[in-house]
Amino acid sequence: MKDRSLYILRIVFVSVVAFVLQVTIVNGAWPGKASPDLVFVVLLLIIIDRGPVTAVVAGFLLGFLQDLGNASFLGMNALANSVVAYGVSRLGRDYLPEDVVFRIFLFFAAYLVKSIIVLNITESFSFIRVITFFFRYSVLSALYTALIAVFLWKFVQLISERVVRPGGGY
Amino acid sequence: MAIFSFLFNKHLDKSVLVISIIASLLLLGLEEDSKVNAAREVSSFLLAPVEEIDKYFVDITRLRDENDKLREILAALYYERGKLLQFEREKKRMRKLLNFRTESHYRFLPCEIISMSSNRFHHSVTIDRGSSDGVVKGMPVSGYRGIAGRVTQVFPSSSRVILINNRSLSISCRDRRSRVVGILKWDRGRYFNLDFVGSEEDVIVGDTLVTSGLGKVFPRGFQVGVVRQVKKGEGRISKDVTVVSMVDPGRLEELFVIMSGKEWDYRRITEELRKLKDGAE
Repeated sequence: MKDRSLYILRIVFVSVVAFVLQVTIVNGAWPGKASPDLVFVVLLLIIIDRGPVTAVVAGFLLGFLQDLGNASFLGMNALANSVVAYGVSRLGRDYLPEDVVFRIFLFFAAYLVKSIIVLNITESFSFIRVITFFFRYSVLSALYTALIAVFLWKFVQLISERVVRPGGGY
Repeated sequence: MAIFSFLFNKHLDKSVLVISIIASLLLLGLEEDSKVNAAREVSSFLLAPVEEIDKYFVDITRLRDENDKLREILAALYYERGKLLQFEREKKRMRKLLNFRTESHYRFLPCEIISMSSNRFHHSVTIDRGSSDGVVKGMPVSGYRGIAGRVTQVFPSSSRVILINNRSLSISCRDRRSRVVGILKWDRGRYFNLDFVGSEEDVIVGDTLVTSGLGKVFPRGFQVGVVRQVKKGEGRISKDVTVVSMVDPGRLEELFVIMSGKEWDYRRITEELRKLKDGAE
């Protein structure tokens, strides 16, 4: 119970840090208009080894956190993240092998799906505008996000392998 | 019941997904104002600890600035204090050379007001110090900023003090700047009249009045008030000087009984009187 609380607390902390970094540094100082989505990266790292229920709840909550930054579309990121988190959890756990290339593909595709949902809502389902923004910003943002997510995922894996003792436990 | 079992036992993941989609769509469907308010409420709830931390650091910065300023003031005050001590030593030396009496140093007995009189023109208060604390009838009483009154009745653990705005009390005052002497009497509220000031005497608005010590009622040198208005009537031999008292007699909470000093060492006088009385018997 204590471990679970600590785990949730850690996730909340990391999510808030990612959100703050996104709002303060990434959105302001990242070169070009396409930039990685750090909150989405955190979401991917949380859900990749978890069940779909946890994934959907985490997606909804982190999406809601992102929506707080833009109240006009409150619920938009919550919707997109819930759907994408469900898909990533299902594909990542049940169908795709645990391999760097497949992970990059999965994360890249996940961000693209999210972008499609978000762009349709923000651009009121205007096909031309959605396509324009999708190819202008979303593809590159998806690449950045996927690369950062995979790098961090591999990094966390390496750390975990080193920390786990031969007798088991942390 | 069966449908709940079907939804939450067999298809929990899909049910949660549908619930979250419905919740998201409901949020999206909210009116603009409701969305903004909801976002604002949640943000303020989430950011409350961050704001607390931010406030803490802002407070630290403010305190640091304040500390720097206070250090500056302290340095200036140390310098001033050094100078004043030097003046004090010089003054003592001069007084000694001129054979002046040694100046008194007073001891202040802090006391609290336990009751106030309701009489409109005989303003007085009762303080929580009495004869058991060494209070003697006639002792002057001051507030933080200046003279406040005089002890008129003493009981074992309390005393009655008539305040400076009592009609029966007159205070001999001196203009700190021009050394002009006058008698201060209460007029109304915090306003007093300084009587017996000649029409040609130098009293101006802003001058501070201190007790002169001439009446032997109050010790010398305690602040009483500031001159607020000076009127010089045509053909009159005196000025109308209005003074605002340093202490607000209507808002007193803590007072100090001025206990001792060379001129005001009542204990010594009482002891001497008792000795004389014993000797006579």
